[in-house]
Amino acid sequence: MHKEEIEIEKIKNKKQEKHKTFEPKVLVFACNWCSYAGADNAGVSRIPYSPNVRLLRTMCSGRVHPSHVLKAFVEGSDGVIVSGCHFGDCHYMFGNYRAEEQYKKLQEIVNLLGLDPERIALEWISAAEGPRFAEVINSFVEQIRKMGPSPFVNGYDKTLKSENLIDLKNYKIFECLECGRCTGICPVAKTHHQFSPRRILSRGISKGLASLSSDQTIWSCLTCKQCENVCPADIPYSEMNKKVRAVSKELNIERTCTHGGVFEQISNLMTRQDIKQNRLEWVSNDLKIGDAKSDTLFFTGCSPYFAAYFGEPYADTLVGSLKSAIRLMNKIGIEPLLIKNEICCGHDFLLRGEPEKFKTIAELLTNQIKNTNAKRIVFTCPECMVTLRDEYPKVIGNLGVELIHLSELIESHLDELKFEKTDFSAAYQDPCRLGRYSGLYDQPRNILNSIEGIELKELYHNKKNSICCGNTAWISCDAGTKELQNKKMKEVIATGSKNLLTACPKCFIHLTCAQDGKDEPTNGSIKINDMWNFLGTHLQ
Amino acid sequence: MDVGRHPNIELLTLAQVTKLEGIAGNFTATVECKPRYVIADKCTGCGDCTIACPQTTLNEWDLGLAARKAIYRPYPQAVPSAYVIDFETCLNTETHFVCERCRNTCKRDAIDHDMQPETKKLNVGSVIIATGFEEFHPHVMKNYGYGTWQNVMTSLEFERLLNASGPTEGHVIRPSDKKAPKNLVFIQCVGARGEGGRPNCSRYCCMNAVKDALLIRQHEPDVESCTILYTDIRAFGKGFDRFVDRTDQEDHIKFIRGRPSKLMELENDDIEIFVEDTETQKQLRMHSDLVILSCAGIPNPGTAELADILGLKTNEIGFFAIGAEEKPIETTKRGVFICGSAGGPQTIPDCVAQASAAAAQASIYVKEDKLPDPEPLIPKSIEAEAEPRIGVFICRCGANIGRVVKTDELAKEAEKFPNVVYSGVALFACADTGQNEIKEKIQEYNLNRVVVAACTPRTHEPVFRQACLEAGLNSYLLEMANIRDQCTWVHSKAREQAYGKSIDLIRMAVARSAHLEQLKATEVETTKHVLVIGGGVAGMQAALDSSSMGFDVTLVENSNHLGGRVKNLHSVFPVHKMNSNPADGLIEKINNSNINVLLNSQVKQISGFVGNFEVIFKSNNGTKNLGPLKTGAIIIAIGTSLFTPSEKWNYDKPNVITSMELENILSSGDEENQLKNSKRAVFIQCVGSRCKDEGYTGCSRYCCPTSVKQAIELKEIGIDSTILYRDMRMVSRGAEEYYRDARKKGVLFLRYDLDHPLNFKGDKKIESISFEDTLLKREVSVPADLVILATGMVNEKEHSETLRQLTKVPRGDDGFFLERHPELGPVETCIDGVFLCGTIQAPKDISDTLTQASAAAAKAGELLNKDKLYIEPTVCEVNPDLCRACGTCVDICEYHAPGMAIQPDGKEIAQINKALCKGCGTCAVWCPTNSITARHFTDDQIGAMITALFEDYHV
Repeated sequence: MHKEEIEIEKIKNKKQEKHKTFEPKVLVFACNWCSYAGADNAGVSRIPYSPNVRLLRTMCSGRVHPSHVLKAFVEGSDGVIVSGCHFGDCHYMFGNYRAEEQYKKLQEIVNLLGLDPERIALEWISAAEGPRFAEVINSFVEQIRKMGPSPFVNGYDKTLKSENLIDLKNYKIFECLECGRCTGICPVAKTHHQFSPRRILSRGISKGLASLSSDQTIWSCLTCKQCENVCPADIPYSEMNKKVRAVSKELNIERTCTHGGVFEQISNLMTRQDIKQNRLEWVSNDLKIGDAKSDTLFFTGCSPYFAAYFGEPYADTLVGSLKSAIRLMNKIGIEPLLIKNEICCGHDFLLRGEPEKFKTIAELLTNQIKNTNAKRIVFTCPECMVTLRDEYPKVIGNLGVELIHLSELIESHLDELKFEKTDFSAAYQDPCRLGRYSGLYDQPRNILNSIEGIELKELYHNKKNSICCGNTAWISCDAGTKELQNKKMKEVIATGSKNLLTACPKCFIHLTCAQDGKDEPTNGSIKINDMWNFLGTHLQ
Repeated sequence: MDVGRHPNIELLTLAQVTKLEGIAGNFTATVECKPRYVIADKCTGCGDCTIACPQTTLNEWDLGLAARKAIYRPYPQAVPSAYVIDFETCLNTETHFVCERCRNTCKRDAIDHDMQPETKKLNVGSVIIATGFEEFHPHVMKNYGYGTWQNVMTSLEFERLLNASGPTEGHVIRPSDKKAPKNLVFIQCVGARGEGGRPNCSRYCCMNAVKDALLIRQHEPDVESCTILYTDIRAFGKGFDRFVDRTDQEDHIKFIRGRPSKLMELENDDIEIFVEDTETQKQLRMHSDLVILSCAGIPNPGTAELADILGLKTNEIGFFAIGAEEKPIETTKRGVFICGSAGGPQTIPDCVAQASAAAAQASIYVKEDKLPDPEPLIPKSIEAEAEPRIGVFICRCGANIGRVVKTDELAKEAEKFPNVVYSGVALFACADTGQNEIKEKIQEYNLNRVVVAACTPRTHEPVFRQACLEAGLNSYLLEMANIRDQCTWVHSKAREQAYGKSIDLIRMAVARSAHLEQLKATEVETTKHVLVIGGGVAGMQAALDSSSMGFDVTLVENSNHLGGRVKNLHSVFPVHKMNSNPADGLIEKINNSNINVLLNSQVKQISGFVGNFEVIFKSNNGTKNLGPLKTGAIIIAIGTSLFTPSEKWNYDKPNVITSMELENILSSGDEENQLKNSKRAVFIQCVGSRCKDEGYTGCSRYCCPTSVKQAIELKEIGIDSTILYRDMRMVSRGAEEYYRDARKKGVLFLRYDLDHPLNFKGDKKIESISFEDTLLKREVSVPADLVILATGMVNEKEHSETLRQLTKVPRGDDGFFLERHPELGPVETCIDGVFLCGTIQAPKDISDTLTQASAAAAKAGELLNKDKLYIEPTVCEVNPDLCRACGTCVDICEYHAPGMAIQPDGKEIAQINKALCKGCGTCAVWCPTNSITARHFTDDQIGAMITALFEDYHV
């Protein structure tokens, strides 16, 4: 070979090698006044820096929501920098302090997700700091280069689509008698006057699919199944609703996620097969955890994520409930197995109209479960239980394990447990997934009543008629939601008790939030606790 | 940049005033403009010429520590951003053009070596001098070795090294061996306070040294020690003391009280410093590998000449002289004003306040010449709601972009992006031809979104927005992709990556533009009225200036008379005996003006927003309400209260009084009789100031000179005085000289500190005070038959809290009202249309108070001179259907833009006042239900960019 040819070959090889090596994809959120200007300064001064970054300008670093950063990882980013002005320099006085507060939440979530904490960074760069901007970028990109690609890059196939036809006949909607019973009982219709299950059905019959999927009101349904309880035609309204949402989502019709969509992005990341979460940091030494041979698996659900995002006063109770659940199980001789990388059950995907993502998650979680020796799964979150019990068989067949709620388990071992005597008086809130979906009304009550001295009050709407906590799947929260919650809080006041016990982490969060506002009826006077947390603190 | 863009400012650079004729209101100024040799309008600041230029010289901006070319931009953020040729360095001479490299390389023909000087005659109403100062040249003082020994530098040189865009990119090196220094020493008062023929204090150097000492470890983490040799730490401004306190947490910073006697260079180029640590009485020999001289500020060399040209006087220290003590920004000539360090060295907040004050006074002579407000163009016809039709315009920026990436290919690629119906290239998109092309294509293709891939939106968004408007498109339907500053300028060596990144940025911009919405500015009229709250000197000065500017003014005062605390003063430092009290002069002017004065009244309620406030007053002697009064701006000037001494100061003893009480005695005319039993007076400084447990944490600024003044006055009636101080903070104009004068007259100064408390001796009355003198290191006992407590200013007024609630201007944790920015916005607040002046913002002396009052009036005037205010539509909005009235946004917003409002259906929801909202979008993040939309930066727009980016990230 000629010398030249060898050189050309070398260059070619080099080029190919280059294609093989990993090149980080980094997104930088930059505030208009300081860090974006700092990048401009680097430009004016011709300071070269790594080309593996793209800037996204916001007016203030305070505009960056943790969900924006998580979305970048969902879409395939390897690292994200949030940047703003130095403290004291903010164009909006304290926007960067607010950004830091949000960033701390993000750090906790990133930690739970098992993502290397150094894949995100918060940097303060002033308009004059062009060289520093370049330095920050270079060292961050190098750091990411060493780490390799984000664990979330592989996994979920974005092109996967569900069949988007609705055969309305499957949902028996033509059998509707238009009697209005559904709307009459619907808790949402009571506060959202534009919402009516009956009218939605009749629109579906007369105008067809398109009109339904673009109807914003379909996102208001809480799938609480009160309507199905009373429907004389047995129309599976909540099932039909989920299907319509799936079509709507596919048509990219907007809907509003609460909390900036942060939980949507977290569950999106759960669909990635390389995820390695780090979610058991809350497990303290006094809790006895089973080894791989254990036949009982405790499914902990999303509470650690909720605790990370909402912080206090929520976090203590949410994590406390999980700890108490294990303590209770330990007392009756069970040392449950926990999965360190436990995948989300996927419940919210169904309600957000993303059945294909749900299927991906169901497969991942089923694999995780099958890799254990578990014969039985215990839940504290009713939503997780209902999803695995009712929805998984539809997409992946039978799990082949027993699914049991902690209240069923504990009730059958009440004689082995001793609780401290108390003079506590509380009302009990029936979560929809535990009550109407699972028929477990008495078990929690029996457990609570076994405590000597406790006075358990019933809300005006209880058991089968219990009012919903107001929100499901982190979509469409609004003034109507609040009205609904206020209604419930008024019922609590009416019992004369100052306490409310819930048995679902979401009921706990939503009802606690309902007490935090400018016009709520209770003035924060009602103490809300999760029943498991409560039981844990009274366990002898 | 704001100056460069302001429609009412004509900027003449390289210019010199050579003559000033006429009188205030009708001056003719002759201005010589030196040629720039670059046509500023044509220059795009691309920098190609600099690369082509063969000639190099030292860069003045970096104080000769770096190099520059003969054609250059002085520093990156220079305004105008056009380049300039330094003919001294250029190969060409005025007659012989031998080098055409820059001219040949410039794509816009902006270079003209033939350019001639120009003489302009300007007809102006008034003149403001803001020529600043120069750093003292320490080489004239041989003892510091500056200029001889390599490792001695001035603080300004050190500042360039610390600067990230400076010659060393923020790395501190010692000149002799280019290594990072380990042991630094700052020497204060070089060329100041009696040195180099300069009696005065330069005010800024103490804080500058403390700042540098705090910053050094961020730049060079291995620095072992940083010693500041000082005489007094003069941390007199708002928050300064707290800043100094931060050094407590840094173990590398040491303060040693002492001025060095001798410096010596050692063999390894280190410096040895001989100094007495006056607090331990030990003679020290310190080794340092880098000495920084905190040099004084001295007048610019041209000061005397300019003073001659303008017909002004200079003062004893060579700066421009002021007309009178109570007129701190007026010169000796009517219609000519000074601000900043032209009248003596200043700190930045004081400079900024003086600048606004000078503008207020100057505008009185030019008010007739008000320019009409620019009329905003109203977009006409184009439907933004329809399916997006996006046009992409890719700028070559001469060769700046085109040289690195193939713009034609970018355009072809961009054509494939969703909704793009046109994509093309322009040589200079910002030039007239480029703008016209954008306008034509908007019409031709019926575009309803425009993406310009060029430079930074921070400078050029206004240009392209205007082009869109002129073509009938709402200007918020424009989006820019910054492929010059972020791609071709910084990745010129990696063309492939620069191309990929450009494509990604354009794709992101296209995706975002599809989600852009039409936004319309809200128009509000302004009420030409200023309300001033507080009738002290600050309030009166602000009211008078506002009135002179032609506004209706209402002045409301809580007590039954105008004048505030100053009215009771006997005399004011440093003018010993005054012809009249400054308050009296102002009161007389108020009485002769048409200012509406409301005595015995308070503000009861304030509603509305900038330009349109409504205020209701209540009178103190009844339940009668006045108003509502419509006003466009509110100036808060309620002043502050004096600290009431606590038990430990023995204030209950008959011979212990406050300095205000002494002032009252002195002004009674009966002082000799009232003080006849006193022979020895002791002043105690910092009573309720610089305290962590009582009073104010900071320095009250006025008390040191006040005590010196009173001590001199007592001396004159035969009373000996001793002043017990912690640091003598004589920072007002002429104060340092006054201080030395007091020492000359026999006033004793003894230094105490907080670690060794003062012991008051005597049962019924104080007979002596004993304490440890920190400079003698032993217990001393000072006999006293009169003790004067120099009480500081504290903001405990009940009235301030009420006013905070009414105006929503926040108070800092020191109790004083919070300005918008401590340096850049000292008289503005976070509430548009509400301004601050005087001691309500922070303690200060009369001169600074008057300056700030004029500054507040100027800011109010600037606002109300506009007939209409256009409120930016890029604000946050609440979707009433989604709000659940949790109040998070109300709590989170510093500007109080969100508030709770009752809807017609009785429902309570949050509402954001557009006039108060600044559009930062923070509330949109905190809203739990996502009911808040941050206009122009919506979740959809941000999300679309993220999705588009990772669809095809080119790496």
